Amino acid sequence: MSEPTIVLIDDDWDDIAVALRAARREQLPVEISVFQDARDVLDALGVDGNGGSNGKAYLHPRAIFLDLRMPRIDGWEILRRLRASPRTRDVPVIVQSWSTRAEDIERCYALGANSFVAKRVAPGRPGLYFTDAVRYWIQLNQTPASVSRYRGA
Amino acid sequence: MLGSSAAGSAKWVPVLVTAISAALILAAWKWLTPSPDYLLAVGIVLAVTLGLLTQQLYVSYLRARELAAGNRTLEASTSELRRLNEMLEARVAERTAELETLTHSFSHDLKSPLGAILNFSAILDEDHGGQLGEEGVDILARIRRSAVRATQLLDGLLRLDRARLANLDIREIDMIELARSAFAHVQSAAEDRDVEFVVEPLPNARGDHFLIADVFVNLFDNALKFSRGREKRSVTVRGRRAGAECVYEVADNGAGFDMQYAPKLFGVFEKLHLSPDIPGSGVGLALVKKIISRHGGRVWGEGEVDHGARFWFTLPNERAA
Repeated sequence: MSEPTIVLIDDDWDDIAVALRAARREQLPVEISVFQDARDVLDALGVDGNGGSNGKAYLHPRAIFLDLRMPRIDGWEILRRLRASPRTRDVPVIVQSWSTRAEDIERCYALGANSFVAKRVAPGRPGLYFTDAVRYWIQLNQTPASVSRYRGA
Repeated sequence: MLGSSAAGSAKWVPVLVTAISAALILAAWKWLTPSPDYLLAVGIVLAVTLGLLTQQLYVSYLRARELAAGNRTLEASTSELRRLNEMLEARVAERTAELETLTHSFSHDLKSPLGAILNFSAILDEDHGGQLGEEGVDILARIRRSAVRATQLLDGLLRLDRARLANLDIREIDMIELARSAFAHVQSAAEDRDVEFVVEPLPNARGDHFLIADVFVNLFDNALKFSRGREKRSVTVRGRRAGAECVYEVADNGAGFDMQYAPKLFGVFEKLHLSPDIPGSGVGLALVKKIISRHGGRVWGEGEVDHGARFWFTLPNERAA
């Protein structure tokens, strides 16, 4: 059985490198698709009217990990579009940010985020915020998609 | 004064008019009726008196008019001044809000690069520590210490910011209970058992439970920090109602401070004790002040080197009429 896919959207290579290293070291049983650009990820997910059946295989992630502060199309706008599309409406979206401003967090939940994770430094465990969140959302949390995967088996 | 020179020459006009008309009347009277000379003298005196009286009356009228004009000008400039003052205050408030917003977003934006420094120095240490050599490991440790320090300062700023922005949830507070639980919290966080804690009877207060708890936490934290390693340490909390206020005091018998630095006590990032062994972000007392002033109270402190420090804060006394 192939490992479930998660999507990681972040414009900051430093944060991506730390997250991927932590996932590798902890041998998280997930396939991580990394995107630095909003356009690319929306295309890959078939969101935003770029869909249509042109034979392209869209990603079906179990969860989407989304950074907020990005140039051009920011995290909130991506979140809004993910929620507006039937393809991604029910996929858990976990917002990750260094900023913990109350208004930022409120806006995320108002737009339909499932979780808000503060990026932080755990002494001696870089990227722990990410691996902890992935474990919960992939191994503990259940969604209709995660259940239907086994229904026919 | 406006028009004073014009009024200066004009005030003689009634004297002249009265004198000329009196002279004309007297001349006509003398020509028409054969009257004795003393009557003429009486007439002249009467005419002059009449003239002077008229002049006095006219001068008083002019003064009153000038005064009224002056009053109007004064009123106009007072209201102009008030308007300018209000405008200035609005502008200061606006600029302050701009600055605070800037600080707020800067503080959050700075977390990311600082986090990267800490994360990558940890990764460097873990993955390549063996190749660094003794000096390299030492340098790496210095980098991390500085980044940790910067993170603490930043956290301090963010805590201040939260106290500034928090919506106050004002309720009655059992201050004895709050002081006890805040002390227990500080003591267990600092793993510091060797201190006597005394709470005298305290009047209840009205305030935001969480923020006032933070006031106690910061004051107790300081008391423990600056008495560490001393004999017979104690922290005492007292309180009383005093007119429109409730006054609370936190006293310790620790290192104290020199009163010449008292004005700096409540500043942001002011650390009176420069010893690197004493940790802290330097915002504790600034935070206390911010919280208390948001409640409409005051804070002050007194100390003596090696003889402890005492801090007071006030909250409105709801029993005062």
